[in-house]
Amino acid sequence: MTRRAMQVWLTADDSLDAIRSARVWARLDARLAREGDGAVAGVPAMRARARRFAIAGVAAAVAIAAVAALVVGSGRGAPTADIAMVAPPGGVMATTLGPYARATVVGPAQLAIAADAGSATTVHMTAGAVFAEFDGGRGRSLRIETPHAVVTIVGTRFSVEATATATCVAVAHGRVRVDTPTGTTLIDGGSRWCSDHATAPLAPSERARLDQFLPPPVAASEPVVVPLAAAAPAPPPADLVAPIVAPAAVPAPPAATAASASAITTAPAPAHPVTAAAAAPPPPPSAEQLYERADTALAHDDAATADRLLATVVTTAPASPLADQALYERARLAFARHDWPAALARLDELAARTASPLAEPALYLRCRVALESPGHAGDAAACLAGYRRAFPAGPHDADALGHLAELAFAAGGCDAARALTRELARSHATSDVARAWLARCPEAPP
Amino acid sequence: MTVAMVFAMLALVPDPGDADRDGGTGTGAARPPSGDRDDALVDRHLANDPGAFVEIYRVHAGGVFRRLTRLLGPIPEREDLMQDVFLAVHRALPRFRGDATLATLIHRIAINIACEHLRRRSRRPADPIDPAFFDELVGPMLDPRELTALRGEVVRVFGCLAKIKPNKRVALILHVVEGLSFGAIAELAQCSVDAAAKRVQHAQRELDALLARSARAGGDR
Repeated sequence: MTRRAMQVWLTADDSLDAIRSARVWARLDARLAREGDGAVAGVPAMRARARRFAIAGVAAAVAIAAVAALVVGSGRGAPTADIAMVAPPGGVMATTLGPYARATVVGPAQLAIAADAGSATTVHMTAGAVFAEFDGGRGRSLRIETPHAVVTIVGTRFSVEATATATCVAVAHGRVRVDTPTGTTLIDGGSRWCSDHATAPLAPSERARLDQFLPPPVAASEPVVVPLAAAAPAPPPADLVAPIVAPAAVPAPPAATAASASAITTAPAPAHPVTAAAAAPPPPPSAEQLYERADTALAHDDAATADRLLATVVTTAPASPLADQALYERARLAFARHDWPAALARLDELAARTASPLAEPALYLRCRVALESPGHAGDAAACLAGYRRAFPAGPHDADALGHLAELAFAAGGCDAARALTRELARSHATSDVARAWLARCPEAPP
Repeated sequence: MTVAMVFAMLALVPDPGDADRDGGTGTGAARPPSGDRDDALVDRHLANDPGAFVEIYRVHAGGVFRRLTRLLGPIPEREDLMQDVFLAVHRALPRFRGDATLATLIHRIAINIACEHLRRRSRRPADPIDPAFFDELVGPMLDPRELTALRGEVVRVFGCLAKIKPNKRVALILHVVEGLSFGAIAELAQCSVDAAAKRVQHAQRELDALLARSARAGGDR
């Protein structure tokens, strides 16, 4: 009994599936890269350097947040009318823009928020990037003024980025109006406009940035934090400091910490307009972050979002092992929705990658696509045979044999399937597939 | 292509991967997966071929995971420990002289890391096995009566095993669960065959004593 107990417990769950294997590899690869040996692990040494910069950025953000906490603390009780913000390079701040908008400000940024009257809010932004969700409605307005344009938001999820040379607006949902000295432009969801470019569809990398920094959608019953509601309509003091309340669930980018996301640096309100240094683009989300978000979306049965995020992983981090995993997951998602061409396209992409740890399940999935596609029984059989040749000890070998037996059975009954059922009984005697086939096509007694 | 043509082509090729069926680790060092392939992979890795280590991982990951499961049980830390194993392999490869096979090197490292994990764990009380987790994992393999009987036995046995020193415990498991000979255990644990045999015998005696004590304590209650 003791021996049996040991054997049962120590052999339970002892097979490494492809997803788990790829997950371990992704983390291992990251650790190898951190050791500064990226070239050997198939990761450019650049990634290790990027991580070191990210760490330095986090340290700087923490230091700034600490200073900010002191400044904010010392400023409590001061009258608040406008809010001035200065975000350091790489700094990320969660804030509200008036009563109806929640935003993430990515530094380097410099902006001032003014409550004009009632529910109207104007933001003067000289530099930086704002990713915001505005809950529009009757009498509510949000206007963002940059050196190059006035952006009027009706109700949407959007971003505005201002640099010394241009202003860009990206819209995830809804519509935004932009007024420039040369005219007015309406920007619809899924589009991006820049003061020095025409309107264009959002590129995957831009959509990924929106996904990274936009505050999560507000539930209808969730109150929006309103720092300006109680503000007296008085002129701003010289050294203005205002409390900013951070939404709880703002996603933190790699170079930011929880501290930097919930605390801000403050500074005297800049005169408007202010000539600012060019804003450096914030770091893009890492493949790991995107993948985690895709996992979360899948956990909520949001396959469309998961698919989009996984596509972004492949686009933005093609060298990452997570890209293999993302391609495989995308193929599985396409398979689940019976989109055979899409599944095959993803599998083709995966097959083109050398030494992918997911080559085995990908080939098996390809065979399943062939099995499911009407009129492709011959292709399916060829695929399964190829799978067995390529991965003779593959974890799907019994299933592959079972499918082959099924195809043979359809062509000529038990006699046609006999060789395969015998092979099943020989190689996978204890498997359910073998048992099922032996019950279906029993061996004749000698 | 018709189904009949495909089946004519099939001819059920003999399985060249039999030796590798479990990632070349079924009986540890005694049966290397494919010495030539591993040698070539090591050579490629040492020549800075970026794909070689991925391939080494791909070939051996399943075996390492299985080995860790058999030494430690289905614990959640296995994935982290797998990373530790391959990280250590990566560090060790530049000094690898080919005295043993690559599979042996990898499994020696896996065993060392498993022992180290057990040592760390021994400094704090053993986590009891969650019955719900046990049922979820083992339930589909057993009939309900056996499941009930084994559930209690597993808790009791692993409570006692946790009190045995890691190197003895590992030797016992390699012998009892994996069926390795003393020679194979000696090769993996890097000790003499006598020492391996003694570890197994001592562990077995200690386990028997602990189980007997546990049974008496259960009877007293």
